[in-house]
Amino acid sequence: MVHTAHTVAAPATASGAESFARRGLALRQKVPLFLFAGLFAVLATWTWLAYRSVRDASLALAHERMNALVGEIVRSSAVSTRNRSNALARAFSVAPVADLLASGGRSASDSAENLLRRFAQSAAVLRTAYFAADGTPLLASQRTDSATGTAETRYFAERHEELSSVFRAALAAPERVAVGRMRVLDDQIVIPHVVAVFRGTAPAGFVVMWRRVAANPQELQQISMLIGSGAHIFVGNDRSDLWSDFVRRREAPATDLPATGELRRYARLDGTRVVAAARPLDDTPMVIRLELAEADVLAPASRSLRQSIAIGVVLLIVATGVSWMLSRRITSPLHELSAAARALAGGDYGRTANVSRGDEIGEVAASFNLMVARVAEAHVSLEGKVRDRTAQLEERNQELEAFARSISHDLRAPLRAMHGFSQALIEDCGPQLDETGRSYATRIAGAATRMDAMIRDLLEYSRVSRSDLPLTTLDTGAIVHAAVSQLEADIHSRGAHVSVAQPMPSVVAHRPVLEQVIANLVSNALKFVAAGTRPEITIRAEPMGRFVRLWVEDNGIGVAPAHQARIFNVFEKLHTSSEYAGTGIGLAIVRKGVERMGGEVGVESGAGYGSRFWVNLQLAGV
Amino acid sequence: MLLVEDDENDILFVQRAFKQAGILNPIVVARDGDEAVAYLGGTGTFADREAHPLPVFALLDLKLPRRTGLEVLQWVKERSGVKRIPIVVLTSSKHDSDVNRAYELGANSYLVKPVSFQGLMDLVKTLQLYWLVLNERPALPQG
Repeated sequence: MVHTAHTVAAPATASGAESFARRGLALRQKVPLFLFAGLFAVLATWTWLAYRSVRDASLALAHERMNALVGEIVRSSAVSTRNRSNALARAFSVAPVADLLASGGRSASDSAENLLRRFAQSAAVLRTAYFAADGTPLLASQRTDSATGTAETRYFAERHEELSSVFRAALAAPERVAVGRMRVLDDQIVIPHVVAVFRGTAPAGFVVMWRRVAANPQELQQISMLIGSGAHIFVGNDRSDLWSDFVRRREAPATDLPATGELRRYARLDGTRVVAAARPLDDTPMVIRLELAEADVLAPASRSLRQSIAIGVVLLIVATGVSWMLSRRITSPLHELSAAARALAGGDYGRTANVSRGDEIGEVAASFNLMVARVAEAHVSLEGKVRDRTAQLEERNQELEAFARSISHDLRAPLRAMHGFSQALIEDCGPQLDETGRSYATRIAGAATRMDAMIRDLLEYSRVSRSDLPLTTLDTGAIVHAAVSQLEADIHSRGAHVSVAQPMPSVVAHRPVLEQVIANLVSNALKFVAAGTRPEITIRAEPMGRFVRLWVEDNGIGVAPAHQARIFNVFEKLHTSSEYAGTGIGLAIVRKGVERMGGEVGVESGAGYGSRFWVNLQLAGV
Repeated sequence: MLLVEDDENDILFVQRAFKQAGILNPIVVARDGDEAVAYLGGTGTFADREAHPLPVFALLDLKLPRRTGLEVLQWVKERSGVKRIPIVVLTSSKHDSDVNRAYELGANSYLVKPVSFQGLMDLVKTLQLYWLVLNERPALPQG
């Protein structure tokens, strides 16, 4: 099956570009956001690093200071301890004391007792005592009345086992003095100072002075001035079983701290964080520990951190604000350009981009406006060209019409003459003509008639070829019936049977042309049958999506596949005039007419098997 | 009867057709538009109405030299008196525009010249029967 291809140009669609959906964040928000994020990261890192370094510096400084302080305290304490011990040793290393000690207290001596008493009267001393060389307690003196400062002496019997190690230390020491661990005595914290008294080379006994670990207000003030108000200083046994802050007993600090002078950071029992260091007191079994409030130590770091954060926040806000404004300055003209472009796409050739800047964006806008101007110019010139072309085509059409009209008139006149005179020849001069003459005259008449038929069909073809074929919705069945009734006489004379299938869907076509097309097809179906055959013709409609296919089916002689394309051409005939009369234009008119109505035409056939001609027409209502 | 026709062959055919149909009314032939107007207007050589009486009806071809059939038609149908004369357009043009224009200008009928002589004979016979026998003729000015 061959059918003529009829191309309908597809309109170029820009539907893909018509709708633009913004994905993600707008540039206006992205730029400040990224700037904010980047700047924030940088500032945060820098601030943290700066804080760290300031903090470490502060801690190092505190460490140094603490070492210095503690060292100072240790030194001065060592000095005073030594002085005190030496003074003790000088005072008590006298014969009366030695006698008393060696005799086990039996050899009483006023001067020895007075000495004991004198030292006991000192406010810083709790008690003084004499011990025999084996540690036996002998005599003790203690102030009874703090107001008057009198001290009494008495014999006592409590042994102080804890002093045995101190006695040994005193014996071993070159200066014969030693200091023992702190202990609580009579609810007071005291440190025992021990002097070993010798008689000759043999030890006679020991003198012990328990000195209070308490500072007077002056000393406290001095200490606090030295170490600062947030600091605490403790003195404790190396065993860490007893601690004092020089005023009263304190519980042991929260963590053990090796007395090496290294810095440790921990929290006190009340939660305050401190920086601490500890050092042993020379020549004593005691340790001094200094705690500085961490907040004080790190105050400068904290301050610097706060300042950095404040500056950073301000910087962030300013930078974000500036970048936001800047991005607006960029995106606003872009919006304007985009709107102007849309206006141009919508057909508004007068809209220009209202952007007056000197930078790259201004350049884009200026170029855009230039483009708009050119497009508008081109549009106008194109419209002008279209108008001119249309006018030209109109002119051509009219020329063709006049041409066709003159053909119709001028070509037919000689035909009439040919026909008429050949007829007249037969009628008026018939007797003078023989058979040959009469047959010649008849042939002339026949030729004239055929030519007239051809002219008529050519005029029809040219009429159908004109472009102004307005299409309307038509009742297909009614038009088929009209076409068939045109050929009523022919149908009747051939005894043909034409059946029209009902109902038929409405189509969009041109009435006269459609009628002509159907009439031509039916006329062919009536004509091209084998001799003696009664034509059986069926006309039916087959819906095919947006089209309706009209079938004109016959029982005629058929068309061989080799010729199925040719028969739709102008002046193409498959038979001689003596076999089947015809102008050879009928199917050309069918094809042209159908194409002009937006459809296609074709045939299914085989030589001797009848033909089924089909015509595609646009379905109405689609 | 006035026949306005420029083609000699067609004139011959029409005359022959009338003769064969047995119609003996005299046929005046005008070979161009101006001659037709002159005849109907009674001007120039046609001033003598005795020798050149007004026709009882006219056959008018459209394609004429000097003045077209439509112009003649318009001229006739605008003049009082002669505009009563039934005018039958007999032409080879089948164009809708010609048909409509002719009727607009007042043609009484529009006939297309048949190609075959037999067709012409049938047409002539019908013409005679209708326009000359059956039709009631209007009164025409004698001057």
